[in-house]
Amino acid sequence: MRQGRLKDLNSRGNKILTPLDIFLIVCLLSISILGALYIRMPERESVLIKVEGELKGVYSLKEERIIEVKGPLGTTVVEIRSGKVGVISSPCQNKLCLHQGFISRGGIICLPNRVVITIGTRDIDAITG
Amino acid sequence: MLFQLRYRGLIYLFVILLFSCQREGLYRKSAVLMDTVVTITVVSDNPERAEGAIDEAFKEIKRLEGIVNFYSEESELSLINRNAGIRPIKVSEDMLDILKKSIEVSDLTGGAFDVTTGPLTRLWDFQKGIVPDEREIKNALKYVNYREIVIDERSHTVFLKRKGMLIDLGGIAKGYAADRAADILRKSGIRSFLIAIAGDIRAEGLKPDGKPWMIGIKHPRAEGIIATLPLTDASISTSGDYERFFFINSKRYHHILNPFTGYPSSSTGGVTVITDRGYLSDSLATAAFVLGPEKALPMIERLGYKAVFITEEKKVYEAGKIEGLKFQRE
Amino acid sequence: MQLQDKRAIAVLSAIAIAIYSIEGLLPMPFPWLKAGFSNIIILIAFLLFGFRIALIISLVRILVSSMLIGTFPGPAFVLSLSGGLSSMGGLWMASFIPFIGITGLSVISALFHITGQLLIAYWLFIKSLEGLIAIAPLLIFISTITGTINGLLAGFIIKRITSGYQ
Repeated sequence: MRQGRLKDLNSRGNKILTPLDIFLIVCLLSISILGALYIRMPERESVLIKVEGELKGVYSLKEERIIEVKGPLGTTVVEIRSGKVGVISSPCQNKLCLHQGFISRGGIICLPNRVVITIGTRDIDAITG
Repeated sequence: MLFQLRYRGLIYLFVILLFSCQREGLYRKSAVLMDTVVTITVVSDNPERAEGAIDEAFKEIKRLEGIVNFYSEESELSLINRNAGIRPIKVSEDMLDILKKSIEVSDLTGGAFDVTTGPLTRLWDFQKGIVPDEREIKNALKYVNYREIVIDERSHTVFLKRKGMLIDLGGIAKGYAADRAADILRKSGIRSFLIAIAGDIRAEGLKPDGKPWMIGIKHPRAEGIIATLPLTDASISTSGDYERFFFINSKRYHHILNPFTGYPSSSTGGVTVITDRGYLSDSLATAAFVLGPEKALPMIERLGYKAVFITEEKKVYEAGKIEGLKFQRE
Repeated sequence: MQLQDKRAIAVLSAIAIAIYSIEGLLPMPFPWLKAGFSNIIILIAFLLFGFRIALIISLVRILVSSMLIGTFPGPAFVLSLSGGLSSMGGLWMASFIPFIGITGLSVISALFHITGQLLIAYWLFIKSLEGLIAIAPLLIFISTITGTINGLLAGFIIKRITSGYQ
């Protein structure tokens, strides 16, 4: 039985790495890097904070501030400091968002408290007021 | 075995893909000037040229700051103020220009914008948060009258008719500086740029992606932004009661003083004004906040400009149609 | 189900759970990042014993380890399950692609894993398209790398196992 399956495997000729595999890997890496460049290129200056999908605020990444975000579990405290944003206090248990530290692109997601922090997908170039 | 020669092509392709996105880019720099953060963003295909142009623009703003600074003893403005009622002072072309423009706006707004509110500015201390004595305010009001600024264009002099008069250009200087910085950028061959001197913004041209600059309007009561709008070849400014203020018995005392009463304007929230010149947007926003939506918006509409008033209760009044103005989902 | 299959499921599930647990202790640049070495076992099971057995091992691994860690039946478990199921779907579909190697299978399965997780996370918890888009390139990049490493390792292990029979 086992022998048979193994014969099967060999007759299918499974190779460890085929040219198709390499093509696939290169494509995926290129797509992800280009995607990252495209997403961060036009705008990286604003911080969006959403709770359960609702936009709670848009902030400039250049203005240092501390923002308290109310989620279902409690208050997540977000800080914007020297062009970076990070979570400094969270009511969640695993504190993954805290461990992610301060970021200048991409996003931080605190799943338990339903808080999503993203940098610059809505491109605000300047703020008046 | 893993990286045989024939796979190299793929790796080259990958590298080429990575570097093929070098093209016209955004260059941005910030500096602390005029007691605030100035951020200039330019579109250029040459980083050195972009940076050079921005630095030149910063230099121009710094130079103007040295002239119009109300609080510095060395500024040309202080020289004029010190010699109020004493003698005319020979001033620079810049000072002459900004004062003429100030008076132009004062005439347009029937005195709701007035640069001679200096005595009131001196009286109100928004850091300590004390309401000045009513008699003091009454007294200061006597010296508020832009018609008593005497400009002699032939001899290049400025004279304040009465001792005790003080000019404060705080309501126009930032917008004016944005205009001048824009001139410098244009001279350096930059066609697309965004100059933000705090909330006084000048936008020209388009971003590398062909889209106009996106401007956020600050929420008058909460953190963050209340609305966004696209802007190109225009200037935008906002005046509001949330920038500098203090509370006494839950009454808000803010820094936009009514030149007729000497007290903070009774408007709430903020007003954003869009015109074709920075100095106009800046000063008209101040005047509009002093006048309140009922009087200010017809005036701005008549002048052919655009404005949006957002009050404390988030009531929205518009003058002119602001294309693409979008309020944030609550 | 034959006894041999049951034994294989038991042994491989145990190994997968062990690998998963040890992996949780390793320091990582990002706390939410996992290399997913236990997927090597799933991949080997798929190649040696077929889809059905691999699927069972995958489900056992997810259930048991989430109970061990204590995430069952919370959001982390839901994400883990959705990732596991979609990666199995990806593996199954990828096995029909001609000229694909073990590494290719692993990369596609890793990609489906992260896509499934992202979509479920979006649908159930986040509801923020911006968040999804902002984080997607990084996750695709990392999953491609880990998928490649896992595929190569699985490939070498399989060659090692099967070489004795040739």
